[in-house]
Amino acid sequence: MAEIAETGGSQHKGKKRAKKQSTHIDMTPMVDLACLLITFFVLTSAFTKSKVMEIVYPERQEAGQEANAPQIPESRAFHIILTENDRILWYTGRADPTRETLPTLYETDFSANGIRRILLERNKSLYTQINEMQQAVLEGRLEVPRDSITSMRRQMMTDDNVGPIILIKATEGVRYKNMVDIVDEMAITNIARYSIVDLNSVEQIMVRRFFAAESSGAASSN
Amino acid sequence: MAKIKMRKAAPRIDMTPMVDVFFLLLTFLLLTAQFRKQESVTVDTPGSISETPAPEGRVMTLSINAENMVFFNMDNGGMDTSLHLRAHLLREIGDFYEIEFTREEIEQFEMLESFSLPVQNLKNWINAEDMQKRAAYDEGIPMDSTKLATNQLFHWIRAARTVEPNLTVVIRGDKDADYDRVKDVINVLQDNNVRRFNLITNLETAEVQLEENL
Repeated sequence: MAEIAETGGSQHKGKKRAKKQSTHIDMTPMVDLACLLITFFVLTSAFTKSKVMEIVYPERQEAGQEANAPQIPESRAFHIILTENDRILWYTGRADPTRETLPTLYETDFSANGIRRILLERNKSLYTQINEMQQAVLEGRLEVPRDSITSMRRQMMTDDNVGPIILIKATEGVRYKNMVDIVDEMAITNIARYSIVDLNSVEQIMVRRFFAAESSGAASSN
Repeated sequence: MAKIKMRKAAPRIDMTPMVDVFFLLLTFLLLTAQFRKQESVTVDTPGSISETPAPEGRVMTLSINAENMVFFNMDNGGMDTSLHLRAHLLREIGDFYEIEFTREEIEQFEMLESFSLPVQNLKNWINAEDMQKRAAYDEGIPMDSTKLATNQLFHWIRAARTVEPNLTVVIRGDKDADYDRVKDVINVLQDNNVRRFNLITNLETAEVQLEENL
């Protein structure tokens, strides 16, 4: 590069010339700085992206009007009641005050062996169906464009007519995290139909009785 | 014998191509980076498996922090800087509450972020010197859901939707916030006929086992 010209220029006899300095600039500090800046931008830009979970709420009920239960087949109805301290109560069927017995409340938690397992058991057919489809796509047995996987999944959910229909309710004192977690469980277990509704008066009584029985049980065992 | 002296050459490496590449990368990153304004509200969002990226541009964000305080924020139009959504929003709110905002106040408001205050304090908040002084005004947006006339959050949301009908609604709740509070906010949104929201979450993974357990 610049050094080649040096040898060519000194061919003249006699005359002493000032030796041409090579025109190298030490670029190390500049490179350091550029590296530093790149590292900074890579680290700050790539990881700040947050994700969102889309959720659709049912239409608002007028104040004072008792939340009337949506007409769903009793065999598929699955009610989840979120309560304080990360506890989940659930029951199936319908809480009808005109009947002799109210449905039994069961307790579970947010762990993988808790509510997730219960939901998976109930939603087994749809879950395996969707899972198989996704597996087939992953292994290349099924070739579909990326966009249509979501629409195929949605179609399977619409076609499903055995899986549970889940109604999520919350008592007072529930943290926001619990609600996000339970909606997330719906996504994890591929639940086709779920909705967030208000606790009705019968369920309030059921929850109160459940905790009353629990505290009296704890008192008698002491 | 004359010794042939080898010219000692410094072991230089030509760094020019490397520098070229570095600067190219740097320029690329600089131009594509989207600078996020420092959020004045600290919110620790809960985790979910959702991989949908957060929407950008024309977004109304309702934040609920761990102390159950509700903050309202709307962006200025995202990448499209000609929209001036916040300026229109402030004019709309000013018209509704009959508060006169000066040109400087509107320009200042465009550069600000979320707030949580009754509309009567808005002027003082805009004119406050710095963020610390502004934080002193955080006392919550009045949102008594029974009376629409006093529900200021309702009117903020309505004004925002008047200014930009295709607004995406984002709820940014802290994981320790009370669900009741979040539900109050959702109820106000429902009163505004907004039923589709995006809840901001952090990405986390979930293991699912089916076969061996059943």
